[in-house]
Amino acid sequence: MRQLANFFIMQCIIAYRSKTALFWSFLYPLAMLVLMLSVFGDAKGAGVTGDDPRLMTVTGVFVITIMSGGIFALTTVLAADFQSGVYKRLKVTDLNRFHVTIGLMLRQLIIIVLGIMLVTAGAAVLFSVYPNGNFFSVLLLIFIGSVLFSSVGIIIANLCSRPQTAIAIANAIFLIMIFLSGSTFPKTFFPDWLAVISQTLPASYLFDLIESQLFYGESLLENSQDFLVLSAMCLIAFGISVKTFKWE
Amino acid sequence: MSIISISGLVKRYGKIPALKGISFDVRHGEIFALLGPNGSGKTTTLEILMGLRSFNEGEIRYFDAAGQQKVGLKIGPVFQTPVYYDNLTVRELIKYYSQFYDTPSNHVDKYFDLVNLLDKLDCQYKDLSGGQKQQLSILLSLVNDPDILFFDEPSNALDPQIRLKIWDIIRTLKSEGKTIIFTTHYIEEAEALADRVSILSKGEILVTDNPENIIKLYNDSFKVEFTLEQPVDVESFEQFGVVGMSFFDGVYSFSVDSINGRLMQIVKDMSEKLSISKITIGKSSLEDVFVRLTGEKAAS
Ligand SMILES: Nc1ncnc2c1ncn2[C@@H]1O[C@H](COP(=O)(O)OP(=O)(O)OP(=O)(O)O)[C@@H](O)[C@H]1O
Ligand SMILES: [Mg+2]
Repeated sequence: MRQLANFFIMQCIIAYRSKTALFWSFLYPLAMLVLMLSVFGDAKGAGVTGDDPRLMTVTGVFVITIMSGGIFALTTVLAADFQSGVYKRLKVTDLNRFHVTIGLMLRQLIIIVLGIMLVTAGAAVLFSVYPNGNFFSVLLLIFIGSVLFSSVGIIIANLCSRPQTAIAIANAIFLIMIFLSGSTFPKTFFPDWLAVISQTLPASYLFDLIESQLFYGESLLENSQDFLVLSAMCLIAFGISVKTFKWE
Repeated sequence: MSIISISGLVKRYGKIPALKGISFDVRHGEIFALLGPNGSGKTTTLEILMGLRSFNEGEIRYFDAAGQQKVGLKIGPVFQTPVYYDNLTVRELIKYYSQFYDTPSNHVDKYFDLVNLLDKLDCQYKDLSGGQKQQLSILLSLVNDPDILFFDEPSNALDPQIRLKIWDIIRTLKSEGKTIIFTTHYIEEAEALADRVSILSKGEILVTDNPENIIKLYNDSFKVEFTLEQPVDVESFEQFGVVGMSFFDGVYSFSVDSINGRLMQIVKDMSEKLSISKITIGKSSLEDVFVRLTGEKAAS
């Protein structure tokens, strides 16, 4: 516990001092929010049973924030640190793979939650958009999503031997997920075959579940099946990320 | 009494053998050098001993001071390349790395006087000089009060003054009872620092002994060095009865067992036929043995 806590705090200091980490975690989501709400902001009244349709856009930005904070931030930093031998040095301490993976994920969780708070505040202050939903349910979804995508980020870094490859793969996965999850375009535009693919992606489950909160104001219980699938994906990804952690 | 005993260690990267069955023992409390040119397998050996790389054949055994076999040792590593987070300060690195062990400790305090880092405590790692980084690496290798220290080229690329400082630190650590294995391709470093040396070349150990014995055993002789105004082929010295002439960096050299009449005759014959500009006769050093054994000139 002491080792995990110290590793986590050290990681927080490192992230706090890293300009790129701060950009991707905070400025980028906020910029996406402003951009997307400016583009899609006029679609008022299109909502079916839900509330303000701009909340779908906010949902998309939530998912983008979680994915960039999970996949991107971890893949780039980890791949570079594997290459330079930082983790080789840590391996000869008594830290184990749980300390390291959980420490990194906790740090990303904090960053993602802060990023989402910023996005929420931005939406309210700049666009007067106020989300529905249960605070704790949303928080739970953010937690699961951020552990899931942090795991994906760690797995990518583990499986690639060169940082360039890792970053290219992270990019590809990130782009595919944000387009196909409905985070940027409504899924209603998709042809059937694409909709089928889309429905298998973890990001789709996350998007749908957060949307059910922010937009429709439903309870998690009403979406328990999706919730279970997302949780299972999260557990599996976490397991793989720990199992494949390779230190260099 | 050994602390580590290695026998028949083989390591292949794919099909390429990097270590071809090396064996040596390191004793408690000694400074042990692995001396070898680039690519000879020094880092590979060290990282296998630290448990960071797998190996294909052979056996490694660890022992405590009483000679009882142990599963592993507490180790203190210094890697060949920088391996610390760039944007943490010296103080933070010491603080956190001390906490990453099962039994937290403040052993660093004991060693802090060894290094010149007092005015750099709040400096970030990336802003340290090469010498300061290396001293910090050594300090950080001590946080867990290790049984054995593994230093991979600890003085590489440092200026002579800092190198002497690093040597000082290593000697002090030995006097405090630490066992140290270090690698180097600087012959004078091995000669000056090590109690015992293994000369490693292309994945094989050529000899393991103390530096004096190696010199005596392999080259209990003298070395003649000279330069020529007009360079000639090394084979052409056979006409003077000299075999094994080597030529490097503009200097010809060969070894002789003793300084005698025959040598004087050779020198006389050569100076009549060739324009020798400078000639010296001296006692062989570890470097000569190294060059002879590895067939390569090492950096010095
Ligand atoms: N990860 C690796 N994959 C493939 N080959 C490797 C790897 N690491 C080392 N080698 C090869 O094994 C041999 C020994 O390398 P090693 O790094 O142990 O040498 P070294 O003595 O430490 O050299 P240097 O003085 O340059 O540090 C070299 O031929 C090197 O190319
Ligand atoms: Mg090396």
